Amino acid sequence: MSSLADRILDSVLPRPDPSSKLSMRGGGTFLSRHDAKDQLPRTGTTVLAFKYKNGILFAADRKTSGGYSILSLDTIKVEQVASHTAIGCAGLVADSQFVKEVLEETNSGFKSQYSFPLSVEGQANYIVNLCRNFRFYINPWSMGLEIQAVIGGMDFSGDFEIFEISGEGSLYKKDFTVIGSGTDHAMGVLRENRKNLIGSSLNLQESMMVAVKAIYRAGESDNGTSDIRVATPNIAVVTKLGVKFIKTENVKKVVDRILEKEV
Amino acid sequence: MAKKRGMGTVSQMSGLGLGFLEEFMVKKLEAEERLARVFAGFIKLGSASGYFICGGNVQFSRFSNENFGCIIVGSSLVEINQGEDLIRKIGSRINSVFSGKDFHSTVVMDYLSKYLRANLQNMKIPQALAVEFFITDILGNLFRIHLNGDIGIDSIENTDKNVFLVGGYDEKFREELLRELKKSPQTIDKEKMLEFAKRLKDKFKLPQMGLVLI
Repeated sequence: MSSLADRILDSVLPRPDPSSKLSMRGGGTFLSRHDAKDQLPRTGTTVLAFKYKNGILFAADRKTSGGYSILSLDTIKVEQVASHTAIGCAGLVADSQFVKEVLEETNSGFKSQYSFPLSVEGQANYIVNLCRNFRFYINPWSMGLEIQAVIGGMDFSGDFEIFEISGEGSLYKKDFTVIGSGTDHAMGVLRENRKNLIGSSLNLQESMMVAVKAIYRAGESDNGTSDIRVATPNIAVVTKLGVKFIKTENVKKVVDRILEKEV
Repeated sequence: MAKKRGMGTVSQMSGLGLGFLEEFMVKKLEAEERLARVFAGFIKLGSASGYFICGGNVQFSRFSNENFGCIIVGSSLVEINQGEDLIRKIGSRINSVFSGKDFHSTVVMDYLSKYLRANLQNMKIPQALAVEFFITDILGNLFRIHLNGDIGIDSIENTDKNVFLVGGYDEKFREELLRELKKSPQTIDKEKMLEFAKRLKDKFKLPQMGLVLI
Protein backbone atom coordinates (compact mmCIF):
# COMPACT_ATOMS: atom_id res chain seq x y z
CA MET A 1 0.00 0.00 0.00
CA SER A 2 2.69 2.44 1.03
CA SER A 3 4.53 2.58 -2.29
CA LEU A 4 1.35 3.24 -4.30
CA ALA A 5 0.17 5.78 -1.72
CA ASP A 6 3.54 7.55 -1.89
CA ARG A 7 3.59 7.57 -5.68
CA ILE A 8 0.09 9.09 -5.81
CA LEU A 9 1.10 11.55 -3.08
CA ASP A 10 4.06 12.66 -5.17
CA SER A 11 1.74 13.30 -8.10
CA VAL A 12 -0.54 15.43 -5.91
CA LEU A 13 1.98 17.48 -3.91
CA PRO A 14 5.71 18.17 -4.29
CA ARG A 15 8.15 16.52 -1.88
CA PRO A 16 9.86 18.72 0.69
CA ASP A 17 13.23 17.52 -0.68
CA PRO A 18 14.92 18.18 -4.04
CA SER A 19 13.55 15.11 -5.76
CA SER A 20 10.50 17.28 -6.37
CA LYS A 21 10.44 18.90 -9.77
CA LEU A 22 9.06 22.14 -8.37
CA SER A 23 11.75 22.64 -5.80
CA MET A 24 14.41 21.60 -8.31
CA ARG A 25 13.34 24.29 -10.70
CA GLY A 26 16.41 26.22 -11.76
CA GLY A 27 18.64 23.98 -9.66
CA GLY A 28 22.31 24.04 -10.53
CA THR A 29 22.26 27.34 -12.33
CA PHE A 30 23.88 29.14 -9.44
CA LEU A 31 26.94 26.94 -9.01
CA SER A 32 29.33 29.32 -10.68
CA ARG A 33 28.40 32.38 -8.74
CA HIS A 34 31.46 32.09 -6.44
CA ASP A 35 33.69 33.13 -9.30
CA ALA A 36 32.78 36.76 -9.01
CA LYS A 37 30.72 36.68 -5.88
CA ASP A 38 31.50 40.18 -4.76
CA GLN A 39 30.70 41.70 -8.14
CA LEU A 40 27.27 40.13 -8.44
CA PRO A 41 24.36 42.55 -8.37
CA ARG A 42 22.87 42.56 -4.90
CA THR A 43 20.41 44.72 -3.12
CA GLY A 44 22.23 45.82 0.05
CA THR A 45 18.80 46.96 0.94
CA THR A 46 16.48 47.93 3.69
CA VAL A 47 13.09 46.25 3.40
CA LEU A 48 10.67 46.50 6.26
CA ALA A 49 7.19 45.29 7.00
CA PHE A 50 4.82 45.78 9.86
CA LYS A 51 1.17 45.46 10.70
CA TYR A 52 -0.99 48.55 10.73
CA LYS A 53 -4.70 49.20 11.22
CA ASN A 54 -5.88 47.88 7.85
CA GLY A 55 -3.30 45.19 7.17
CA ILE A 56 0.40 45.11 6.46
CA LEU A 57 2.70 47.82 5.14
CA PHE A 58 5.89 47.04 3.20
CA ALA A 59 8.54 49.64 2.44
CA ALA A 60 11.86 49.32 0.67
CA ASP A 61 14.69 51.48 -0.63
CA ARG A 62 15.51 51.51 -4.37
CA LYS A 63 19.23 50.79 -4.65
CA THR A 64 20.91 47.87 -6.45
CA SER A 65 24.69 47.72 -6.22
CA GLY A 66 27.48 45.47 -7.47
CA GLY A 67 30.79 45.81 -5.72
CA TYR A 68 31.42 49.57 -5.35
CA SER A 69 29.05 50.51 -8.18
CA ILE A 70 25.45 51.59 -7.95
CA LEU A 71 23.65 49.68 -10.69
CA SER A 72 20.18 51.08 -10.21
CA LEU A 73 18.28 53.57 -8.10
CA ASP A 74 14.78 52.61 -9.15
CA THR A 75 14.63 48.93 -8.22
CA ILE A 76 11.30 47.67 -6.96
CA LYS A 77 12.09 45.33 -4.08
CA VAL A 78 8.58 44.59 -2.87
CA GLU A 79 6.45 42.53 -5.22
CA GLN A 80 3.04 40.96 -5.28
CA VAL A 81 3.19 37.14 -5.47
CA ALA A 82 -0.47 36.31 -4.85
CA SER A 83 -3.72 38.25 -4.65
CA HIS A 84 -3.19 39.00 -0.95
CA THR A 85 0.53 38.38 -0.48
CA ALA A 86 3.61 40.50 -1.05
CA ILE A 87 7.27 39.66 -0.66
CA GLY A 88 10.35 41.79 -0.18
CA CYS A 89 13.85 40.40 -0.70
CA ALA A 90 17.37 41.47 0.12
CA GLY A 91 20.53 39.83 -1.15
CA LEU A 92 21.49 38.59 -4.60
CA VAL A 93 19.15 39.91 -7.27
CA ALA A 94 19.23 36.62 -9.19
CA ASP A 95 18.28 34.60 -6.11
CA SER A 96 15.53 37.05 -5.16
CA GLN A 97 14.05 36.90 -8.64
CA PHE A 98 14.28 33.11 -8.63
CA VAL A 99 12.43 32.87 -5.30
CA LYS A 100 9.72 35.27 -6.46
CA GLU A 101 9.19 33.40 -9.72
CA VAL A 102 8.97 30.01 -8.04
CA LEU A 103 6.59 31.37 -5.45
CA GLU A 104 4.32 32.96 -8.05
CA GLU A 105 4.28 29.72 -10.00
CA THR A 106 3.53 27.66 -6.91
CA ASN A 107 0.78 30.04 -5.81
CA SER A 108 -1.01 29.93 -9.12
CA GLY A 109 -0.53 26.15 -9.40
CA PHE A 110 -2.01 25.49 -5.96
CA LYS A 111 -4.92 27.89 -6.54
CA SER A 112 -5.82 26.37 -9.88
CA GLN A 113 -5.49 22.79 -8.63
CA TYR A 114 -7.25 23.12 -5.29
CA SER A 115 -9.38 26.29 -5.61
CA PHE A 116 -7.97 27.68 -2.36
CA PRO A 117 -5.14 30.22 -2.11
CA LEU A 118 -1.98 29.16 -0.28
CA SER A 119 -1.73 30.56 3.22
CA VAL A 120 1.04 33.04 3.98
CA GLU A 121 2.60 30.49 6.33
CA GLY A 122 2.43 27.90 3.55
CA GLN A 123 4.25 30.22 1.15
CA ALA A 124 6.86 31.06 3.78
CA ASN A 125 7.42 27.36 4.51
CA TYR A 126 7.79 26.69 0.82
CA ILE A 127 10.57 29.27 0.49
CA VAL A 128 12.22 27.86 3.61
CA ASN A 129 12.20 24.38 2.02
CA LEU A 130 13.65 25.85 -1.16
CA CYS A 131 16.46 27.55 0.78
CA ARG A 132 17.24 24.39 2.75
CA ASN A 133 17.26 22.30 -0.40
CA PHE A 134 19.81 24.63 -1.94
CA ARG A 135 21.97 24.49 1.16
CA PHE A 136 21.77 20.76 1.82
CA TYR A 137 21.42 19.14 -1.58
CA ILE A 138 21.73 21.29 -4.63
CA ASN A 139 24.73 23.39 -3.69
CA PRO A 140 26.01 21.96 -0.41
CA TRP A 141 29.41 23.65 -0.62
CA SER A 142 27.90 27.14 -0.54
CA MET A 143 25.67 29.08 1.80
CA GLY A 144 22.53 28.26 -0.14
CA LEU A 145 20.42 31.03 -1.59
CA GLU A 146 21.92 34.37 -0.71
CA ILE A 147 18.76 36.14 0.28
CA GLN A 148 16.74 37.37 3.17
CA ALA A 149 13.04 37.68 2.57
CA VAL A 150 10.03 39.08 4.30
CA ILE A 151 6.66 37.77 3.23
CA GLY A 152 3.34 39.03 4.47
CA GLY A 153 -0.29 38.92 3.61
CA MET A 154 -3.77 37.88 4.44
CA ASP A 155 -4.83 34.28 4.96
CA PHE A 156 -7.99 32.64 3.73
CA SER A 157 -9.26 33.04 7.31
CA GLY A 158 -8.69 36.82 7.19
CA ASP A 159 -5.64 36.95 9.50
CA PHE A 160 -2.65 39.10 8.57
CA GLU A 161 0.75 37.48 9.05
CA ILE A 162 4.39 38.46 8.49
CA PHE A 163 7.28 35.99 8.23
CA GLU A 164 10.98 36.65 8.02
CA ILE A 165 13.10 34.11 6.15
CA SER A 166 16.85 33.83 5.90
CA GLY A 167 18.79 32.19 3.08
CA GLU A 168 19.91 29.34 5.32
CA GLY A 169 16.30 28.39 5.80
CA SER A 170 15.20 29.82 9.13
CA LEU A 171 11.71 31.17 9.62
CA TYR A 172 10.39 33.68 12.13
CA LYS A 173 6.89 34.99 12.60
CA LYS A 174 6.96 38.71 13.33
CA ASP A 175 4.73 41.69 14.03
CA PHE A 176 7.32 44.01 12.54
CA THR A 177 10.60 43.24 10.85
CA VAL A 178 13.45 44.68 8.81
CA ILE A 179 15.81 42.80 6.51
CA GLY A 180 18.93 43.78 4.61
CA SER A 181 22.09 45.68 5.42
CA GLY A 182 20.23 48.63 6.87
CA THR A 183 18.44 46.53 9.46
CA ASP A 184 20.12 47.96 12.57
CA HIS A 185 19.40 51.58 11.72
CA ALA A 186 15.82 51.04 10.54
CA MET A 187 15.01 48.71 13.40
CA GLY A 188 15.82 51.52 15.84
CA VAL A 189 13.00 53.61 14.39
CA LEU A 190 10.56 50.69 14.41
CA ARG A 191 11.44 49.85 18.01
CA GLU A 192 10.65 53.43 19.04
CA ASN A 193 7.14 52.68 17.79
CA ARG A 194 7.06 49.09 19.06
CA LYS A 195 3.86 49.60 21.09
CA ASN A 196 1.93 50.97 18.12
CA LEU A 197 3.28 48.37 15.73
CA ILE A 198 2.47 45.39 17.95
CA GLY A 199 -1.01 46.82 18.60
CA SER A 200 -1.48 47.53 14.86
CA SER A 201 -2.88 50.89 15.87
CA LEU A 202 -1.31 53.17 13.25
CA ASN A 203 -3.32 54.45 10.30
CA LEU A 204 -1.88 54.52 6.78
CA GLN A 205 -0.42 58.05 6.98
CA GLU A 206 1.21 57.39 10.36
CA SER A 207 2.53 54.04 9.13
CA MET A 208 4.05 55.65 6.05
CA MET A 209 5.76 58.24 8.24
CA VAL A 210 7.31 55.51 10.41
CA ALA A 211 8.35 53.43 7.40
CA VAL A 212 9.93 56.29 5.45
CA LYS A 213 11.70 57.55 8.56
CA ALA A 214 13.15 54.07 9.12
CA ILE A 215 14.45 53.95 5.57
CA TYR A 216 15.79 57.46 5.91
CA ARG A 217 17.79 56.44 8.99
CA ALA A 218 19.12 53.37 7.20
CA GLY A 219 19.98 55.37 4.07
CA GLU A 220 21.96 57.87 6.14
CA SER A 221 24.36 55.25 7.45
CA ASP A 222 24.16 52.15 5.29
CA ASN A 223 26.06 51.93 2.02
CA GLY A 224 23.60 49.46 0.50
CA THR A 225 20.47 51.54 1.12
CA SER A 226 19.44 54.45 -1.07
CA ASP A 227 19.01 57.87 0.48
CA ILE A 228 15.39 59.01 0.41
CA ARG A 229 16.56 62.38 -0.92
CA VAL A 230 17.89 60.62 -4.01
CA ALA A 231 15.37 57.83 -4.53
CA THR A 232 11.84 57.82 -3.16
CA PRO A 233 11.16 54.59 -1.26
CA ASN A 234 8.73 52.06 -2.56
CA ILE A 235 5.68 51.38 -0.36
CA ALA A 236 3.05 48.66 -0.74
CA VAL A 237 0.15 47.73 1.51
CA VAL A 238 -1.71 44.44 1.82
CA THR A 239 -5.29 44.95 2.94
CA LYS A 240 -8.47 42.91 2.70
CA LEU A 241 -8.84 44.31 -0.82
CA GLY A 242 -5.47 42.90 -1.94
CA VAL A 243 -2.02 44.31 -2.59
CA LYS A 244 -1.78 47.99 -3.46
CA PHE A 245 1.31 50.03 -4.29
CA ILE A 246 1.28 53.58 -2.98
CA LYS A 247 1.88 56.15 -5.71
CA THR A 248 5.36 57.67 -5.72
CA GLU A 249 3.88 61.22 -5.47
CA ASN A 250 2.17 60.32 -2.23
CA VAL A 251 5.32 58.75 -0.78
CA LYS A 252 7.26 61.81 -1.91
CA LYS A 253 4.93 64.03 0.17
CA VAL A 254 5.78 61.95 3.25
CA VAL A 255 9.48 62.17 2.40
CA ASP A 256 9.21 65.97 2.15
CA ARG A 257 7.46 66.20 5.51
CA ILE A 258 10.19 64.15 7.17
CA LEU A 259 12.98 66.14 5.56
CA GLU A 260 11.30 69.41 6.63
CA LYS A 261 11.27 68.23 10.23
CA GLU A 262 14.87 67.09 10.06
CA VAL A 263 16.13 70.47 8.88
CA MET B 1 3.23 -17.95 -10.60
CA ALA B 2 0.76 -15.85 -12.53
CA LYS B 3 0.65 -16.46 -16.24
CA LYS B 4 0.94 -13.43 -18.52
CA ARG B 5 -1.85 -13.33 -21.08
CA GLY B 6 -2.45 -10.17 -23.04
CA MET B 7 -2.19 -6.66 -21.69
CA GLY B 8 -1.76 -6.31 -17.95
CA THR B 9 -2.99 -9.73 -16.90
CA VAL B 10 -0.46 -10.33 -14.20
CA SER B 11 -2.57 -10.82 -11.08
CA GLN B 12 -3.12 -14.04 -9.20
CA MET B 13 -6.62 -14.23 -10.69
CA SER B 14 -5.16 -14.82 -14.14
CA GLY B 15 -4.86 -18.42 -13.09
CA LEU B 16 -8.65 -18.59 -13.31
CA GLY B 17 -8.49 -17.74 -16.98
CA LEU B 18 -9.97 -14.27 -16.59
CA GLY B 19 -9.03 -11.40 -18.88
CA PHE B 20 -7.94 -8.01 -17.69
CA LEU B 21 -11.38 -6.39 -17.84
CA GLU B 22 -13.02 -9.35 -16.16
CA GLU B 23 -10.43 -9.29 -13.40
CA PHE B 24 -11.04 -5.60 -12.93
CA MET B 25 -14.81 -6.10 -12.75
CA VAL B 26 -14.40 -8.97 -10.28
CA LYS B 27 -12.15 -6.84 -8.10
CA LYS B 28 -14.59 -3.91 -8.19
CA LEU B 29 -17.63 -6.07 -7.55
CA GLU B 30 -15.90 -7.82 -4.69
CA ALA B 31 -15.14 -4.45 -3.06
CA GLU B 32 -18.72 -3.31 -3.63
CA GLU B 33 -19.92 -6.56 -2.14
CA ARG B 34 -17.98 -5.83 1.02
CA LEU B 35 -19.66 -2.42 1.21
CA ALA B 36 -23.09 -3.86 0.39
CA ARG B 37 -24.58 -3.16 3.80
CA VAL B 38 -22.18 -0.45 4.99
CA PHE B 39 -23.28 3.11 4.43
CA ALA B 40 -23.04 6.77 5.42
CA GLY B 41 -25.95 9.04 4.69
CA PHE B 42 -26.12 12.82 4.86
CA ILE B 43 -29.48 14.34 5.76
CA LYS B 44 -29.79 17.98 4.79
CA LEU B 45 -31.55 20.23 7.30
CA GLY B 46 -32.49 23.83 6.53
CA SER B 47 -30.23 25.79 4.22
CA ALA B 48 -26.68 24.89 5.17
CA SER B 49 -26.71 22.29 7.90
CA GLY B 50 -27.38 18.62 8.32
CA TYR B 51 -26.21 15.45 9.95
CA PHE B 52 -24.61 12.17 9.03
CA ILE B 53 -26.01 8.77 9.85
CA CYS B 54 -23.65 5.85 9.42
CA GLY B 55 -24.13 2.11 9.75
CA GLY B 56 -22.29 -1.10 9.04
CA ASN B 57 -20.32 -3.99 10.43
CA VAL B 58 -17.79 -1.77 12.17
CA GLN B 59 -17.73 1.66 13.74
CA PHE B 60 -17.17 4.47 11.21
CA SER B 61 -14.35 6.95 11.74
CA ARG B 62 -14.07 10.73 11.73
CA PHE B 63 -11.30 13.16 10.91
CA SER B 64 -11.48 16.93 11.08
CA ASN B 65 -9.33 20.05 11.08
CA GLU B 66 -10.10 23.77 10.85
CA ASN B 67 -10.90 23.50 7.12
CA PHE B 68 -12.95 20.33 6.69
CA GLY B 69 -14.52 17.33 8.36
CA CYS B 70 -14.46 13.80 7.00
CA ILE B 71 -16.47 10.64 7.66
CA ILE B 72 -14.86 7.34 6.71
CA VAL B 73 -16.90 4.17 6.28
CA GLY B 74 -15.42 0.81 5.37
CA SER B 75 -15.98 -2.88 5.46
CA SER B 76 -13.47 -3.53 8.25
CA LEU B 77 -11.52 -1.66 10.89
CA VAL B 78 -8.29 -2.39 9.03
CA GLU B 79 -9.59 -0.70 5.90
CA ILE B 80 -11.00 2.25 7.83
CA ASN B 81 -7.59 2.64 9.47
CA GLN B 82 -5.98 2.57 6.04
CA GLY B 83 -8.37 5.33 4.95
CA GLU B 84 -7.40 7.39 8.00
CA ASP B 85 -3.75 6.67 7.29
CA LEU B 86 -4.14 8.10 3.78
CA ILE B 87 -5.61 11.31 5.18
CA ARG B 88 -2.79 11.60 7.73
CA LYS B 89 -0.24 10.93 5.00
CA ILE B 90 -1.36 13.85 2.87
CA GLY B 91 -1.79 15.99 5.99
CA SER B 92 1.79 15.30 6.95
CA ARG B 93 3.05 16.05 3.43
CA ILE B 94 1.21 19.34 3.17
CA ASN B 95 2.43 20.30 6.61
CA SER B 96 6.04 19.81 5.61
CA VAL B 97 5.78 21.40 2.17
CA PHE B 98 3.33 24.22 2.90
CA SER B 99 1.38 24.53 6.15
CA GLY B 100 -1.39 22.79 8.08
CA LYS B 101 -3.60 25.75 7.15
CA ASP B 102 -3.44 24.61 3.51
CA PHE B 103 -4.87 21.20 4.27
CA HIS B 104 -8.15 21.86 2.46
CA SER B 105 -11.04 19.62 1.44
CA THR B 106 -10.00 19.76 -2.21
CA VAL B 107 -6.45 18.63 -1.41
CA VAL B 108 -7.61 15.56 0.47
CA MET B 109 -10.33 14.86 -2.09
CA ASP B 110 -7.85 14.95 -4.96
CA TYR B 111 -5.45 12.58 -3.20
CA LEU B 112 -8.07 10.11 -1.99
CA SER B 113 -9.74 9.96 -5.36
CA LYS B 114 -6.46 9.38 -7.20
CA TYR B 115 -5.32 6.79 -4.68
CA LEU B 116 -8.58 4.82 -4.70
CA ARG B 117 -8.68 4.81 -8.50
CA ALA B 118 -5.07 3.67 -8.76
CA ASN B 119 -5.62 1.06 -6.06
CA LEU B 120 -8.57 -0.39 -7.94
CA GLN B 121 -6.90 -0.29 -11.35
CA ASN B 122 -3.59 -1.75 -10.19
CA MET B 123 -4.14 -5.45 -10.84
CA LYS B 124 -1.06 -6.37 -8.83
CA ILE B 125 -3.07 -5.46 -5.73
CA PRO B 126 -5.49 -8.37 -5.39
CA GLN B 127 -8.12 -6.64 -3.25
CA ALA B 128 -9.40 -3.09 -3.59
CA LEU B 129 -9.66 -0.83 -0.58
CA ALA B 130 -13.35 -0.88 0.38
CA VAL B 131 -13.70 2.53 1.98
CA GLU B 132 -15.77 5.57 1.07
CA PHE B 133 -15.60 9.11 2.33
CA PHE B 134 -17.91 12.06 2.99
CA ILE B 135 -16.19 15.44 3.32
CA THR B 136 -17.77 18.74 4.32
CA ASP B 137 -15.81 21.97 4.23
CA ILE B 138 -15.93 25.56 5.41
CA LEU B 139 -17.49 26.72 2.14
CA GLY B 140 -20.48 24.42 2.66
CA ASN B 141 -19.51 21.86 0.03
CA LEU B 142 -20.28 18.19 0.41
CA PHE B 143 -17.89 15.77 -1.29
CA ARG B 144 -18.54 12.06 -1.76
CA ILE B 145 -15.58 9.89 -2.66
CA HIS B 146 -16.47 6.40 -3.80
CA LEU B 147 -14.29 3.31 -3.70
CA ASN B 148 -13.58 3.52 -7.45
CA GLY B 149 -12.28 7.09 -7.06
CA ASP B 150 -15.43 8.76 -8.41
CA ILE B 151 -16.27 12.07 -6.82
CA GLY B 152 -19.62 13.71 -6.19
CA ILE B 153 -19.63 17.40 -5.28
CA ASP B 154 -22.67 19.33 -4.04
CA SER B 155 -23.18 22.66 -2.41
CA ILE B 156 -25.28 21.95 0.68
CA GLU B 157 -27.00 25.32 0.42
CA ASN B 158 -27.96 25.08 -3.25
CA THR B 159 -28.76 21.44 -3.74
CA ASP B 160 -32.37 20.24 -4.13
CA LYS B 161 -31.58 16.80 -2.79
CA ASN B 162 -32.13 16.15 0.89
CA VAL B 163 -30.42 12.78 1.21
CA PHE B 164 -26.93 11.75 0.04
CA LEU B 165 -25.47 8.30 0.36
CA VAL B 166 -22.14 6.52 0.06
CA GLY B 167 -21.76 2.75 0.36
CA GLY B 168 -24.86 0.54 0.50
CA TYR B 169 -24.10 -1.27 -2.78
CA ASP B 170 -26.75 -3.94 -2.24
CA GLU B 171 -29.54 -2.63 -4.46
CA LYS B 172 -32.41 -3.85 -2.36
CA PHE B 173 -30.78 -2.59 0.81
CA ARG B 174 -30.08 0.76 -0.81
CA GLU B 175 -33.63 1.22 -2.00
CA GLU B 176 -35.10 0.46 1.39
CA LEU B 177 -32.49 2.55 3.16
CA LEU B 178 -33.19 5.59 0.97
CA ARG B 179 -36.89 5.18 1.64
CA GLU B 180 -36.19 5.12 5.38
CA LEU B 181 -33.74 8.01 5.26
CA LYS B 182 -36.38 10.19 3.64
CA LYS B 183 -38.42 9.72 6.83
CA SER B 184 -35.53 10.92 9.00
CA PRO B 185 -36.07 13.69 11.60
CA GLN B 186 -35.89 17.11 9.99
CA THR B 187 -34.83 18.94 13.15
CA ILE B 188 -31.91 18.55 15.53
CA ASP B 189 -33.74 16.65 18.22
CA LYS B 190 -31.38 14.27 19.99
CA GLU B 191 -34.06 11.90 21.20
CA LYS B 192 -35.82 11.66 17.86
CA MET B 193 -32.54 11.15 16.05
CA LEU B 194 -31.41 8.40 18.41
CA GLU B 195 -34.79 6.73 18.11
CA PHE B 196 -34.53 6.91 14.32
CA ALA B 197 -31.02 5.44 14.38
CA LYS B 198 -32.15 2.61 16.63
CA ARG B 199 -35.06 1.88 14.30
CA LEU B 200 -32.70 1.65 11.31
CA LYS B 201 -30.29 -0.52 13.27
CA ASP B 202 -33.06 -2.97 14.20
CA LYS B 203 -34.71 -2.97 10.79
CA PHE B 204 -31.52 -3.67 8.82
CA LYS B 205 -29.89 -5.73 11.56
CA LEU B 206 -26.75 -3.60 11.52
CA PRO B 207 -24.14 -4.22 14.23
CA GLN B 208 -23.04 -0.56 14.37
CA MET B 209 -24.88 2.72 13.91
CA GLY B 210 -23.82 6.31 14.60
CA LEU B 211 -24.83 9.94 14.15
CA VAL B 212 -22.66 13.00 13.50
CA LEU B 213 -23.91 16.59 13.53
CA ILE B 214 -22.18 19.27 11.43
